[in-house]
Amino acid sequence: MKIYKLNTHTEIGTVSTPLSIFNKNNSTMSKTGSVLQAGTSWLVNQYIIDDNGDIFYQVATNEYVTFDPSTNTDVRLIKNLANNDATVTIQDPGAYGIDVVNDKGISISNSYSNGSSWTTDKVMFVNNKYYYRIAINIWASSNNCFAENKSGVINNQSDQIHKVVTTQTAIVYNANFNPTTTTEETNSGWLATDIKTNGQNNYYQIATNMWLIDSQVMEVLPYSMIIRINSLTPKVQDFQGNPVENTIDFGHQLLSKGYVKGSNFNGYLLTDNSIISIDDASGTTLLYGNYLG
Amino acid sequence: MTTVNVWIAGSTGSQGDFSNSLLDGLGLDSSQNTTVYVGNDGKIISKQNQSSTNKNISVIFENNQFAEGTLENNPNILDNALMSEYIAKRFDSINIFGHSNGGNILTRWIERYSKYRPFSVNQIVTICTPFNGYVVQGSDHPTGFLKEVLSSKDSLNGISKKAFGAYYNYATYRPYTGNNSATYAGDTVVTLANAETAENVFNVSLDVINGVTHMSILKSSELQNYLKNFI
Repeated sequence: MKIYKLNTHTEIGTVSTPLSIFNKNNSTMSKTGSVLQAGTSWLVNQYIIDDNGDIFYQVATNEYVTFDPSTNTDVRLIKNLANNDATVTIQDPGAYGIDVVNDKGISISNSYSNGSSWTTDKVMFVNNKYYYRIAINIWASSNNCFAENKSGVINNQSDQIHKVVTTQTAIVYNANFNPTTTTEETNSGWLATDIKTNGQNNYYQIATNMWLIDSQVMEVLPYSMIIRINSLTPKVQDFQGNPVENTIDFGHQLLSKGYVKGSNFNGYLLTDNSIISIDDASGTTLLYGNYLG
Repeated sequence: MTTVNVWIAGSTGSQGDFSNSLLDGLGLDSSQNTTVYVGNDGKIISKQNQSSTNKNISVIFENNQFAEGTLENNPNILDNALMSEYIAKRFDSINIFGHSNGGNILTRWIERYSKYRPFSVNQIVTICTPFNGYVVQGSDHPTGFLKEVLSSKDSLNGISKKAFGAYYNYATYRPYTGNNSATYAGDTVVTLANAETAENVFNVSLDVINGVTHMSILKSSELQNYLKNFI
C-alpha cells in the first residue's frame, strides 16, 4: 500500500450514483456503510494505491472512495488549471465532430472546426478519458486537442550516463551468472557497460566479472526530453519504490534527464532519486509550434 | 548468429488487420509468431506463442494512437518487449518492420536504445510511414517530429534500410491546420509527399507500389515478395 500526496484543487464528483466510502485499517481498505451522495463533489488531497493496484481517493479523515474509470462512467475527477492556463487547438475533427461532453460527462454534438483554438481552465477525467473545459458545460477530449505551448527545449543527450541503480541491497553475480558473496548497497549507481542474458534474467555488467541482475536494479537511459504530466494522480516514486512528495501537477511540463526502466516500474527521471510513471507522463520534444502537424 | 524479425503495426487498422494481411500472406501461421502485448505503463501484459525457437515477434501496444504522447512513450514500451524477448530467444540481431506509425516508433527506438542494447539491428523496413505527421507536404514543411528524427540520423548508420510507399489516387487530404483544399497523391491516409520524407530520414529512395491503399499494400505481392527474403 502506497500513499501519494496530491496538490490541492483536485475534486472528485459523483453524478447520479452514490459512491461507497472505505476506511483504512492498517494496510487494508474496508467498505463502510456510508456513501458519497450522488451529485456531490469533494476535494481530494491524497490517494492510496493498495496491493491490488486499486486507487482510493481520500475525501475526509479516514474516508476514501474508489472507482474503476473503465466501467464507472458516473464519477469525475476535476482539476483547476488556474495557474496553468493553456490553449488547446482542435485536431482532426472528422465528419462527426470531436469527442465533446458536458459537465456530467455525457456526449454532446458539436461542429468545432479543425485548427480552431480555445482557452481552457479545467481538466476533467471521466469515462477513462481526459477532457479540457473550453466553454461553460463543454469539455473537449484531449484525444482531439493539441495543447498550445509557449517555449521549447530540444530533445538532446543528457549529461547522465547509461547506468543502473540498485533498488535494494543487490547481489553481485560473476560472469557465469552465479551469485557471489559481494553485494552493493541500496540506491547505488553503476555504469552499465554490457548486458547479457542467461535465458532467465538480464544482467548488467558493472565491472570485470561483476554483474547485477535486472530484478534488483533499474536501468537509466541517458536521454533527456521534455515531458508533459498527463494524469490527475501522478505517481512519483524513488528507485526503491517509495512514494515521493512533489509539486508536479496535470499539465506541467518538465525537463527529464533520463528514462528509467525497472521490472515493475517505467518512467521519466525527475530528480536524481525521483521518477514519474510512464503512465502519468509522456514525452514531448517540441513545446512550440506543431509537433505532428 | 541468431536473427529475429520484429513486426510493428500502425495506428490505422487493428493488429488483426496487420496479421491477416501481412503475416498470413508471408506464410506465417500464428504458432510461428510470438505476440507480445505491452501496456501503457510499460509492463508486459501477456505473450502468445512464446517459444525460444520462434523467429518472429509481433508487438502490440495497449494504445497506438497517432499522437504526440504515444509516439514518445511507445518506443520505450517497445524496448521492454524486445528486452523481454531477448531473454527468451537470446538473439544476436533483429530485422524490424513497421507499418504506418509503427515505422515512426521503430525509428525512435533505434535512435534512443540501439547503442545500449546487446543485439544489433540488421534491417529496417517502413511501410507507408508518415514521418511528417499530419502534414500533407514533404520535408519542405517539416514537423517538429521530423526535424528531430532527421537530427538523429547518426543512430541509423550501419543499418540497411528500405522504405515503401503506396499510391492509390489523388484526393483531398486534410492537413492539421489551415484550409488547404488541394488534392494530393497518396494512399488514402498518407500523402506520397509525406511518405517520401522517409527518403530524407533513411537516405534511400521510396519504393512506391501503385494501385494499393494504406492498408491493402500489406496484401500486395510486391511488398510480400520482398519481405519473404527475411522469413
